[in-house]
Amino acid sequence: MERVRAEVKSTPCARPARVLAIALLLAGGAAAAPVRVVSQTVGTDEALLAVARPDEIAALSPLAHDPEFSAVAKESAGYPVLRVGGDAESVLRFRPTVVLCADYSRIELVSQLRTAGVRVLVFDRYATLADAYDMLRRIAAELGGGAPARASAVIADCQRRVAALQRRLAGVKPVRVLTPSTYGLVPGEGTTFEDLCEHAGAINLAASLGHLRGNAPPPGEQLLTWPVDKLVLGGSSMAASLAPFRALPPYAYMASVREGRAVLLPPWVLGCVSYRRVDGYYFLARALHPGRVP
Amino acid sequence: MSSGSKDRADGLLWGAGALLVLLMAASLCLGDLRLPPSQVWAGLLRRDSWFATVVWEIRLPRTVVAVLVGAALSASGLVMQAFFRNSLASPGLLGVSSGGAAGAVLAIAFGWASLSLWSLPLAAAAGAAAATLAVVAFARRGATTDRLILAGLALNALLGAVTGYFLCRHTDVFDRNAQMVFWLMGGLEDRTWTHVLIALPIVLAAAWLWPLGRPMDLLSLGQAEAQSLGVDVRRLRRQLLLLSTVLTAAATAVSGPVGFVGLIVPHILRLLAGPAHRRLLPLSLVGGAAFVLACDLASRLIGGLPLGIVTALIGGPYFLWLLRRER
Repeated sequence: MERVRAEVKSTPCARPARVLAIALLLAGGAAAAPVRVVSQTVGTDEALLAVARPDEIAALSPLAHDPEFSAVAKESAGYPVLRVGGDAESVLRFRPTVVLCADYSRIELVSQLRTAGVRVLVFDRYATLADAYDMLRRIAAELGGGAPARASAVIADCQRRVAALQRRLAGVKPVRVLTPSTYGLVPGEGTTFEDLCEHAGAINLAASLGHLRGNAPPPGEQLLTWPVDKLVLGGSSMAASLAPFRALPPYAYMASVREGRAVLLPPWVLGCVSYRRVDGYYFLARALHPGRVP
Repeated sequence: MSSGSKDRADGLLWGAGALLVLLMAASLCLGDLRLPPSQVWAGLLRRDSWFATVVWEIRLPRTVVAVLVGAALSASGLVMQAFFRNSLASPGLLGVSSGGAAGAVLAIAFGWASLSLWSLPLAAAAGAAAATLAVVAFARRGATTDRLILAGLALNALLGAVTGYFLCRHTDVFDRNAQMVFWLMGGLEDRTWTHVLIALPIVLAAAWLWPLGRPMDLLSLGQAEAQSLGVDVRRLRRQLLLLSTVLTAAATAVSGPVGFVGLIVPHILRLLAGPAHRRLLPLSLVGGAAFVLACDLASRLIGGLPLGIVTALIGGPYFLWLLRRER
């Protein structure tokens, strides 16, 4: 599970920056240099805000302020964000000592940052809650000081909340759900939505009946035969969120769409990869089993 | 060539050279990190390690790659237009850019692109090389110009289908899909000395191409006329085909497919300096480099718009204006 890579490449080009860092260290009476973290993804934004002191956060991802994707849109309002599609300089202008990247970050960017002497953490697992805990621990270890204790507290709180939710949902009849998409793909096995369903008393039909892995195109005609109890949609208005599917085949012909049998989640929940997905478990469980989860 | 147009071409070459030097200086001075010229200078002379890192490891490789890509695409376009004796010919005509695109998309789709800095450009170069080999093999069988163009159309369609298939196939892996789309729009973000190394064949091809201006002028008179004036037309055409494809392949490998440069820059220069290739060749190399560098600077200043979009947005209106003025 521990598959987070944190490396500083020992390139000749990184040497001058390290020499400078050492010189600054000596000039400052050997005091530890302050950590300044730049986060490149929404998931790492959420984890970073949970464990870092405000002065340790140099910049967040371009989507950090967007409530459509970010669970921390309000909390992150005071921090600068990176620009979309920025290059290495757009990150380095925040003078980071650590940059949090994902395995899909451009390799050229990661290489340039390492060349500039910046420590780069590359995260490559996000599917499960254990991966989210791992993300918290690794970021906290990088920050040092009180961060590991804060990470442990956040993880303990999550574990307590998850256990409490499982007790509430014990013996409940799972609700068969599907989360439709206008992109022509639905999340199946091994996705964050599957994880959400497993923790919220739901069965993701795309995985169980459709045997879909990852985000995959649904079998159009078979979809009409799936016994969907509830659709799971992201948004703030049921009418607006359902509207595209009322006109889009094959969804338009599904009873659940026609009858408006759907639950609404904050949109960021459907793509959340950080520990904040625990909030998502509660949102979904509350929507599907209101009698059990008030 | 009259002495007036020769003087004009010489003046243009000097002007383009001076513009290129200015743009290179601007490219080293401008970036998200707002460094004043004194700090850029300190970095350039390695008097300060932080500024040296920014200048030598981030800005200079990007600048050099932009220069090489611009020179390659522009010269390749000029050669294609001379080869086909058609002003609509461009570097992408024979499918080399499409081959590079297909190679790069495959590398991203299968996850090779994230293994090493070399993977993506080498995969693009391999795709472009495969397309080049197909074209050369076709040409060696004595294909006529028309048949070569048709072969290029077929190759473009085939390789476009490969690229399209992998784009569709990976819509479920959003991050890889986004990487493919961004690569297909062309760009010079975060280019390193590794990319400069991969682009070095451009220098060799340009050096080989440089003395071919006069034979190209004779070829533009027609094959029979060129032959009667002592040009080994068959050999010259092979050389031109090979050089054009190598230039396009190396440029595509490090920048992605950047459209418009190979079509528009030779046209603009021809309108300004006349049709003589022995003047146009050096002018295309320098002018193309200046054009792409200017577009990359514009791309940086307006917030990271992909290079391929900027080349079209800047080059298109200017070209239309020039056509209207010269009518």
